[in-house]
Amino acid sequence: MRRAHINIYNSRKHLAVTLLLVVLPFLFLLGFSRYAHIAAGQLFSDVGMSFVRLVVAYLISVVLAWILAILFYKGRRAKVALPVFDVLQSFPAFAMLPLATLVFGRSNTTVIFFLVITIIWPILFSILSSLKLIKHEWEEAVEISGMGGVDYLKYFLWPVSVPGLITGSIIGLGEGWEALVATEIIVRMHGGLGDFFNRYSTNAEITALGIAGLLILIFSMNKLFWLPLLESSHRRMEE
Amino acid sequence: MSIILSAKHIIKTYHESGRNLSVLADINLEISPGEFFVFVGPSGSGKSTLLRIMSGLDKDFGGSIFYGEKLKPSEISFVFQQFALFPWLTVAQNIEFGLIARSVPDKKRREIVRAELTTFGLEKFAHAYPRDLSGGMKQRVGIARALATEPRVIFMDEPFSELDSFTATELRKDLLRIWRERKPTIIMVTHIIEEAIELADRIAVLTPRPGKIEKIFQNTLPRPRQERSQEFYRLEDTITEIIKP
Repeated sequence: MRRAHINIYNSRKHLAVTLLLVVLPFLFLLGFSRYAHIAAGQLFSDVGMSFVRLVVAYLISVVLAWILAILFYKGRRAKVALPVFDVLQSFPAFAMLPLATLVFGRSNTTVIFFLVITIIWPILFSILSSLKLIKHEWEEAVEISGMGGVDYLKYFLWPVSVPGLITGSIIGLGEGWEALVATEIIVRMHGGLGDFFNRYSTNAEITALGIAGLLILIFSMNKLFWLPLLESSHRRMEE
Repeated sequence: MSIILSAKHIIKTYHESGRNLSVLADINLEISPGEFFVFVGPSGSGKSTLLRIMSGLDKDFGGSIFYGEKLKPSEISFVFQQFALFPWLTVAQNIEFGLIARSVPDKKRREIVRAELTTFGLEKFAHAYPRDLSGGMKQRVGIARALATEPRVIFMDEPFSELDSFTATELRKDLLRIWRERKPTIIMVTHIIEEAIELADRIAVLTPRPGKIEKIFQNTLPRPRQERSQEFYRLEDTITEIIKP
């Protein structure tokens, strides 16, 4: 099966505006570093470090959430697992932070571990919601076709779970940014946005500009990537 | 006489809030290879349930189903009332789906898909998604998908009931042409008596609560069948009399 063409941007103008939004945070950070007399390299390194931590945690969360969703979305397993997931997601993740620090130390692993247990739940529950929408007739069509194994995952369960995965990613990453900065501050990580806010905590102006920069970055990512992807994935499930 | 499928003492009961609801009661029948067999009956006569039992989709039933003539489950296809197309796949990819499941090589797959697209006049829609198609086109894709795997038995669950009468008539003609050319066994359910008479070699009349075969008619009317002929009307009246509550 050839890969279907994924067109997540409606027009060239849409793409151009989106690309402008990618450039915007960089321009902001450059201007910001000049204004606050901070070395631009240091600022970009802080943002980059946090970004990489978030991306790694996000990728781990996506893989884990998808596997869990596929294993437990229906049948007897779902009856047992879903209440357990519900309890686990209600558990305050910050309560795990001292233990994580004790086990992993003041390290990237601690931050990533904490991010994973924050991000994974919205992604998992959104994928589960998507899988619950599988029509009985689709399942029958797959059963009659005899499709199984990897093909079943690739051609059936994966496409059905994509809209939930994207919705969950938007929510999860929103929570993730918050958890990321908080964890970096609490764990006193060297480098990263948490470290940046810690360093300039006595300077309200720089802190405010830093927050504005973070918001522009998150907004741009949503506009650039997630919202078009969300729209496209929902369109794909229209019958 | 060779038999491709036989059903013996099929019963089906649903258990709902402590009560047993009998849906099918002691269904017995035998179907020959290449036959066009139609179940006709009103809502609640268990037609679709019986079709799912015979196709292997519903395994929770009493009695037994036997496949003859070395029929394998991979040689069975199903056409659904509401098409059951996968909305994330294009028309061509939907048709291709069963071929991937059967590990048909890439080149061969493309050839088969192209041929089915031509057969059903869908060439221009190969890269369209189901949401862009009319009901009639969607069911063309559904039938093309069912035929692509060269099945020996095709089950059809009220395949024309979601279509307007003009489209349904056209599609029935196409189906008869393809059936004559490829000679699969077709087992179909419908609630429209005229449709059953137009298509079937034999018609099993089901009555409801619980669903049971009231009578099986050998439809000897010459093909192509004339809907306005006296014999057509006579058979239609006879079946209506049986079904009438």
